[in-house]
Amino acid sequence: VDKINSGDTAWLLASAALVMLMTPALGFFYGGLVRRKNVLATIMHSFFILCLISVQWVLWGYSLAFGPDKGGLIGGLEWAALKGVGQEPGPYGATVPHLAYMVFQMMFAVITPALITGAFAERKRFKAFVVFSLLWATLVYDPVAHWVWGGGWLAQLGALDFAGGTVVHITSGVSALVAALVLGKRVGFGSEPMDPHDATMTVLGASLLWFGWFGFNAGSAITSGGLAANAFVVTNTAAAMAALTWMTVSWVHKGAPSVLGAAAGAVAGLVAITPASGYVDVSASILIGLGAGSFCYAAIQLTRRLKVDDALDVFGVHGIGGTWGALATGIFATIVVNPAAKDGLIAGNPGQLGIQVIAVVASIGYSAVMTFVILKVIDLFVGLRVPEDEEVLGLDATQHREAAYQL
Amino acid sequence: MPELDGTSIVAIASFAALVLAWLMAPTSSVVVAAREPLPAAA
Repeated sequence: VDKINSGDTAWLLASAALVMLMTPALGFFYGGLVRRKNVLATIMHSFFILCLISVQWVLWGYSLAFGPDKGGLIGGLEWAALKGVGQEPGPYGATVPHLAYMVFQMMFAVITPALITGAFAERKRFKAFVVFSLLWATLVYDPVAHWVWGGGWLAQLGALDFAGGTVVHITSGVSALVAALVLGKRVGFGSEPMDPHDATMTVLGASLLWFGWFGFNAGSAITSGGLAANAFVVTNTAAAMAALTWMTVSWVHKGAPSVLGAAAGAVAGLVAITPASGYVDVSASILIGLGAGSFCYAAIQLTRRLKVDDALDVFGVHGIGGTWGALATGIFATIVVNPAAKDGLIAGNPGQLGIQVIAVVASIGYSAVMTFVILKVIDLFVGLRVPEDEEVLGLDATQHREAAYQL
Repeated sequence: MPELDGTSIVAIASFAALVLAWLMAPTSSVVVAAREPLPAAA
């Protein structure tokens, strides 16, 4: 008989609260990067999704993602409205209440669509954003979460994703790129300055994201023992190393150690260590951070050179960072860290890297196609973008009839 | 399929009602905004 462990339960509930904080933190991170006329609309994206997915998740999202498996593709609706999800342990955590596991996973479901909002910032119609978020969570996030964590086909294949490299970051990063391409560039993109209106807000947001990420990764151990401690340490190390790397590369490339670059670099490192945090040791986390700072920086330079208006660089940080992290898991994983998992390439199991490649390709392909279809349908019935005059005026005034600052 | 009780059915219906209200809401407040003083754009 499974018995609830108070230490595990306390850590999991605290971790859920830490991950919850990440979504408003993301609102500040993104909010500082946009122009003053769009800051409220940008923060609202994250805050609204926190509310929207909190309800969607308990009504049907959790059941689709983690409910009884249907052909390896989706969970059943047996747990809709949390029927059968109670205070006793469920199938995903032997020592914690099923409800605690559910609410921890809820916070992942919340932040993932919020990450995408950085790509269509400053030009998307609020109603289109609302419909998109609900459809995307149901049709993209819930199925992919089931594939990897709910006993679906990627779990059966043996793909390793400790806290969401494929489920959270690849799906959101790739969807962000598709959204940026479908929506098109902002008015004035490339011809007028679009500098961040408050860099301090962005650094505050990045710092709170870092803080919350300890719950994201170390909480994913679902126990409060050594594995959680390992995830905590490698998370911090990779974030720091990626921030140092990004700042250094930008210093060499552009002649100044960018503050925003250090903040973005830390987030890139946190993204990349996410899938690996329960499988790699601290030395590997330094290399993962080094790769994140380099690859993500390069990806952003490339998207800008290609004139893709991924407004807040979601693809470069989350799409590339998540891909690097998923592949790095296949390279650096070791059963010394996690005896319940598998070795990676360096420990003598090259097949694991092949499985990770399959998981990456499947996540990219499914997210890209589904996001494209969802956006096209919404464009048909609602319209994705605000009219040009409203975009020039700003979304705070035209979508929300409010102003962020009375200065 | 789940066996939902009455409270759960009403809960799902109330969320569906909110979604319906969002779909039917005005797509933009620019007309109203144009009549009122606006904050200075950055």
